[in-house]
Amino acid sequence: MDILDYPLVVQGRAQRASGTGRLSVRKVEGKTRIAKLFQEGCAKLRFPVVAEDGLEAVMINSAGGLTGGDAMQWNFVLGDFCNAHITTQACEKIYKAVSGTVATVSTHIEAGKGSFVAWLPQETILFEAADLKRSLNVNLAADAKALLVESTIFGRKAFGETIDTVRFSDQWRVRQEGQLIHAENFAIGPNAGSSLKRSALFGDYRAVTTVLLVSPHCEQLLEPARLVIGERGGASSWMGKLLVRMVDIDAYHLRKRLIPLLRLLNGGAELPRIWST
Amino acid sequence: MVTITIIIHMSRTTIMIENIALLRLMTWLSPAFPVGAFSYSHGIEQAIHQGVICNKQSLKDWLLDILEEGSGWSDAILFAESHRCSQIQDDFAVLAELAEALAGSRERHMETMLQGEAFLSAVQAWPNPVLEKLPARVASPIAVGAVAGAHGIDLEAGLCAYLHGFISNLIQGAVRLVPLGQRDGVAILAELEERIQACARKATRSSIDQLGTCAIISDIVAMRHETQYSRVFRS
Repeated sequence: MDILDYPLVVQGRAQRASGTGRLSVRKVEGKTRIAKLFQEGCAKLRFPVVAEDGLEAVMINSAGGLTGGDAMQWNFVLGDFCNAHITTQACEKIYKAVSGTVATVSTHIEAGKGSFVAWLPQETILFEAADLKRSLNVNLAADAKALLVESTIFGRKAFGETIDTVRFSDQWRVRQEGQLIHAENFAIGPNAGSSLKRSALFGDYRAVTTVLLVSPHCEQLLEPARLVIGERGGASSWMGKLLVRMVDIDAYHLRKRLIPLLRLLNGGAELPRIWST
Repeated sequence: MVTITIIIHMSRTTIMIENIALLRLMTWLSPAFPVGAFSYSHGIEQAIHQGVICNKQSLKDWLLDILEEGSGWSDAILFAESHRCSQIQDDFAVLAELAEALAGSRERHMETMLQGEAFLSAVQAWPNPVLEKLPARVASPIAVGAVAGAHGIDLEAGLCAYLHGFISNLIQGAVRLVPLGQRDGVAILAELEERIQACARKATRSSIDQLGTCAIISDIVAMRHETQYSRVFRS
């Protein structure tokens, strides 16, 4: 079908946001430096000056949120012995999707030997009728370490927002030396409102976070992590990874435990300023 | 004449295979099959400890969540995929790796891996080439799905038996901890029959792309079970 045959249809369709951001970094004179940077569409990357030798990358979606049909792609490559914290400037808001359309966010991270990558986006907020498909693919070299976080808020309680119909899927594939060491497949909806109330599903909580630390000595952090997590969450460590899940009534309460937890798991390094304030 | 003979012969064969299939499913997924299923509660012991499960209705609700939107559903998908893998003589390595990586906690990992391993060891009594193809350490739904498929057992029947075994085992565990009688436990199983079959049927029509659960609280209590002070179960 030639798209030019249907000019009215094309004009009538809302302009959809799309963005691609690609960054590669390498170690230069003891510091992690930008090697290549590519930004297209609504995907922007900013690099605040940090005191440490590592690099901080702040992702910005200049479209100010996503709706059905929008697509964001992020790609990060860390050379050997690099240290990078990747975060977002703001919470990503996922708005109502026109029936049958889906917003997609896909992220790929490669980390070379001896490197450390912290994937620390701020919360994703899902509004009523949002439809989001998200994926995170991480490939680590043999001795690379990673701290990965995704937090999701189902409607903002303080604004009286309720969730009835939402579709959201989130897939993680974390590989080390090519071997799959961790996988997550979250899926909810379309009747998310009733699922959120179910006792074994969300137990009426509206905020959830999943945190994964891949590091040879992560088991030593299990007990300290449990103290931070408290009753609305759990932690477990096996096969060189530490996994934490927490729930709470809203983002504000979730952060009260998430920030100290991330500080603990971040290898003693400072969190991006956006997380510390 | 010849044709009729063949039809009679085939139909007789079919019935015989179906009965053999039934017998095998009953044996492999019986509580007596030596995989140690009785020692795992899948986090239910902690949910009972926290008071989330305290009677028949709350147990039934919890089981439904796990079945339809939790690990029951992902195990059903993995079982179905493994069954298909065995039909096309495909390599199980990628699927086995995914099933292991999906385990959500140390005890959940142990629960599925040890039962898978024990299943493959005990099912050697039914020699089949598929046993050479499977990795020695493999998650439970991959092991049972592959063996059921290799023995020509219908996917939906196999899934029904597998999910029934899973739910039935959790009910048996729960009635030991909650003031619930065996009659209540059996009644839950009766009430869940159609949902178990629906879940099995849905999984036969799904692919690995339909993996996806949202049983966050179930996943959390499974983690919290690790530090439970007084416990009967290994998960």
